[in-house]
Amino acid sequence: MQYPDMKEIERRPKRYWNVDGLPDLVMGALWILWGLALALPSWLPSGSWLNYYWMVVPLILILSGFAANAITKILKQHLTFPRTGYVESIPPGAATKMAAAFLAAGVAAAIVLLGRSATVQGLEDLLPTAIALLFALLFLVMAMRQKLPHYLWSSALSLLLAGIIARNRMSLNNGFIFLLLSIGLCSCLVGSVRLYTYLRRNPRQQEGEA
Amino acid sequence: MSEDDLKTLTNMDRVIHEPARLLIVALLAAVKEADFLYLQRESELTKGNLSSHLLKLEQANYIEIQKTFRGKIPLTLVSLTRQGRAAFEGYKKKMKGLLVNGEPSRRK
Repeated sequence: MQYPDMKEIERRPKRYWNVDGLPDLVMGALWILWGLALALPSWLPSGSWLNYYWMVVPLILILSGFAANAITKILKQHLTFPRTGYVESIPPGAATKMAAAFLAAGVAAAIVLLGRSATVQGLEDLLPTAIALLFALLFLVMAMRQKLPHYLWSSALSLLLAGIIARNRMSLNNGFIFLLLSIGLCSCLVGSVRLYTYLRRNPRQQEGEA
Repeated sequence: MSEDDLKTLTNMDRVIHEPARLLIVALLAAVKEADFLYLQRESELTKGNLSSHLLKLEQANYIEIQKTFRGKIPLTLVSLTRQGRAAFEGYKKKMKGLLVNGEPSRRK
C-alpha cells in the first residue's frame, strides 16, 4: 500500500458532502423558493395583503436559508449514510464563525450601500448582474478547491445568466427573479441527475462490524 | 541524511507509520467522527483488514470505537482521541522535517 496524500485526504469529507447531489437539489429548491417569493407580488393583483407579505416573507426566507442545511442532513441520514457511510465534519471554531458572520454582514452592507447609491445614479439594475457574477466566482472556487467539476458548469451558467440579464437590461426585481429561478432550476436538475446516479451505483447495505 | 534525521526516522511512531493505519488516522483527523462503512469505502480495505487496523489503533489509545444502532442496523462509530490527534500531528511534523532536510538543494 502506498503512502497517502495528506492534503487530498483532508479534502475528502467536504467532497463527500457533495457526493450524492443532495446539496445541489436542496439549494436549487431554496433558490426557486426565493425567486417565487420575489415574483409572487408582481403576478398577483396588488392590495393590502402586500404589506403583510413583505413583513412575513423576508423572515421566512432567512429561516429557509438556515433550514437548508438541516434538511440536507435529514435526507442524507435516510439516503446517503446507509449506502456509503456516515461522517460528521469538525464544527468550525469560534474564529471561523466570527469571520463568516463579518463577511456576510460586509457583503449585505455593500449590497445595501450599492443599492442606495445606485438608485441615485440609476445603476441599481446592475445588481442582479453583479450577483450572477458573484455566483460564477463562488462556483468556480468550489470547483477548484473541492475538485468538483460539475460546479464548472454552474459557474459557466451563472456567467451566461449575467450576460443575459445585462444584455436585456432587466430591472432589479425581474433580474433577481430570472437569476434565482434559472439557477435554481438548473441546480435542481443537476442535483436530481447526480442523486439518481448515486443511488443506482450505491445500493443500501448493512453496516460492517469492527 | 544527517544522524539526527536517521534517529528521527528510527524513532517514528510505528502504529501510525504503517500506510493503511496512516490513511485511517488521516481520514479520521479531518472529521469529528465516521462510521465503519465510510472508512471502509474511503480506505478500500477489506472488512477484516480494516477491523484489525482499528483494533491496533484502539489498543494504542489513538481512536475510540463506539458500537451503537441506526434503527436495527449495527453502527460502528470511530473517532480520533486527543492522544491520537497529537500523535498524528507529531508524525506529520517529523515527516515534514525529514523530507525538507532530505531535499538535495538543502544538503550541504
